[in-house]
Amino acid sequence: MFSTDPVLSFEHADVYQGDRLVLGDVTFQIHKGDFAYLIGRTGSGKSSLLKTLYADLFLRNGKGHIAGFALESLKPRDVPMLRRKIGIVFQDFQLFTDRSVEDNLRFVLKATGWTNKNDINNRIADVLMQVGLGTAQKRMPHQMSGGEQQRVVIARAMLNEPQILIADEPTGNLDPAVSDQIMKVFQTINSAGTAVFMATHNYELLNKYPARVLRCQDGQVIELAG
Amino acid sequence: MARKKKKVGAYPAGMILFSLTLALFLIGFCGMLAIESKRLVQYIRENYEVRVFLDKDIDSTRAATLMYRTLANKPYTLSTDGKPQLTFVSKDAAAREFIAETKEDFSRFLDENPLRDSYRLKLNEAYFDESKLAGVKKDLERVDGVFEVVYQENLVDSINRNINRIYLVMGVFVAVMLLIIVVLMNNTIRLALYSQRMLIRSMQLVGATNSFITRPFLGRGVWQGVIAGVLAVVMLLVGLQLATHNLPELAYFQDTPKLIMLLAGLVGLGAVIGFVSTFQAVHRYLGLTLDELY
Repeated sequence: MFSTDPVLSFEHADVYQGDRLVLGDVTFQIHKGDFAYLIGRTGSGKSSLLKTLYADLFLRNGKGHIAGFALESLKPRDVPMLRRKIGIVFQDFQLFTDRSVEDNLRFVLKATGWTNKNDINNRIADVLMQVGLGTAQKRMPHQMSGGEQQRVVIARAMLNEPQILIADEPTGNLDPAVSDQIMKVFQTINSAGTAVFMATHNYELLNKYPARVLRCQDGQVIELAG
Repeated sequence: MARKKKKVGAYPAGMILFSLTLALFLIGFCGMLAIESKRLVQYIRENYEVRVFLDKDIDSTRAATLMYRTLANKPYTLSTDGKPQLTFVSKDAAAREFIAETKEDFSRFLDENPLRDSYRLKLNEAYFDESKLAGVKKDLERVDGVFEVVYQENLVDSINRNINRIYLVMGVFVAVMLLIIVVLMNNTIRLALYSQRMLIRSMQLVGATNSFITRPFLGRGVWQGVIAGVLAVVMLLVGLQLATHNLPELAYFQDTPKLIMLLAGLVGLGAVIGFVSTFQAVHRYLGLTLDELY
């Protein structure tokens, strides 16, 4: 049966950074297959909101659900399991520079409980194909361009077949042409059913790849009319 | 040139290995001293004698038989292999001993041997205490035919006091060494973790459990502890060989089973220190948020 439950939902949630209330009464939902941008000025609370989603900050007030986990009652021991259900992409999300692309991905799979060698090899081949790096398995990160490295990072985030991909400024360090390529990778992933929630400053992308837009402003999250 | 692999859990090992080896060596050295001094003390105690001088009018043969039986049955008389450690010294033997020691022959100007028959009695270790010795003296002096009981006063307390002082100093020294090495390892590992914080962060964000992240650090910490322990053991054994070679009497005070336990314990202690310091340092780090990490 097809589930209509949202992949991500906030209901009257307050987002804190330390003891400071950053965003209050946040309410929105993201469903399977949705693509949504999160915009706002520096310091407006975008990163705090994303950190709350992957449990780097705990939700104190209100309700929040992501990939089947209730954020308001999340225990520290559940955090790794939650993170396996969501994919996280950063602009500075490091790759291991001492090992090949394949070994970077293998390491993550082992770290998240994969043991079967064939399954691991197949999954690595699948995600690299998904991001257009089917032949890059043996290359070292330093032999790749910034765009290619970011694609490896996206591939890494996709390894555990997340229900939602959370990206924090994934094109922040890339030039417009490469950003374009990365956005196409996100669109491909999104069209296969994975929800994408992306924080960005790059408003050009919003025009070029239109989607839902949520804005952090004055301590609130506002949905902009499409 | 091949790039050197930056292994997760890797950190500069030289300094830690050196310090841990040195600390374990010093701890082991203290342990060895404690074991050998215990044997020395036991030797001194077992050879400590109380002299029981007998009345002059007691006939030597009668003394040798009756008194022997009385003294042998006293609870404080040391028994080795079922044999009471009691030696009868006749006044003639005592006179010969005296002349040999002092080189003065009193028989030339004294008609009579002024010395008395006596027993030399070795004591059980439990009575090696000044107050208990006083009780022994009192008890012996109550025995019919005993003229006087003599022992070297203050020696016992002085030995006990000094031994306790040495043990205390060693104990404090070992505790300080342990503290220093735990703090040192902790700081080194924290620095190593700091240099790898982003990698650790990446691992956390892809859903690696803390135990998975911690494992390489713990494995390395324990391994280093074991290596340091083995190095310390080798150094101690070499030192012991050299010492015994130069001072063969030391061999008497060696207690091999305890020595083996001590050396095995050092390797174990190395592993435990490695594990505990690493565990503590890594876990403190894993609890930090991204902002705290930066």
